Amino acid sequence: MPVYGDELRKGDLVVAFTVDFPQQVTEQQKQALRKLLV
Amino acid sequence: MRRCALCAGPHLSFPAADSSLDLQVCEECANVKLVRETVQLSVDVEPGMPHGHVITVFEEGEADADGDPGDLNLQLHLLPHPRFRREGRDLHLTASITLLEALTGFSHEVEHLDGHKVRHRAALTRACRQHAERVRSGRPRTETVLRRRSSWSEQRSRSRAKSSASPNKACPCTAMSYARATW
Repeated sequence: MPVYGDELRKGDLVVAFTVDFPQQVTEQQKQALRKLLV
Repeated sequence: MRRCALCAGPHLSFPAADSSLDLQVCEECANVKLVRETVQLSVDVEPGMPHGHVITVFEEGEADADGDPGDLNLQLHLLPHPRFRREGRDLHLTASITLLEALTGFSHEVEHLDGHKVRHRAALTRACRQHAERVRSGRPRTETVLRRRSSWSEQRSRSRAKSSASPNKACPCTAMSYARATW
């Protein structure tokens, strides 16, 4: 947002992303993930 | 400021001798019955004014015993916004992405307060342990802080991105986010 008294300067927009993890992972999905990530 | 009910002229107030009441006399006629005036004032609130900032409107306050008007001081109180949070000159916003988006990259568009769109693309998002890892109500959540650089500091950000070969030791995750952010 603009800095009061100094129109040329502005602050930052800070976006915090929260990662939503899946609630459940099946055994089949786990094995697939292990295969992909390990 | 008070004015005479009959001629609308200014009045003078004098402290009464034996009580806390003021003796109020109209300057322009003999009337002594005075009414409180209602005036609509226009006040400019400039962008970026901080919480608690006091705006002084010259000679629009209550008159003192001699009839000289005082100043009107308006103090700003910022109301909370449903999406944005202000911290000094920075605006903070929280958005959610899926695990797949976090792993494979994503494109996110934020509608700013004035309606213009701010688009952010990230090829890779990594968790930052210093800033973010925390557990909310038993559900694992990870935050990665990405920072929208303002125009005056955009060049500095770009130069940082170019020199990403030597990432920030204190927070490699943030350095990665700076480097890969495209605005």
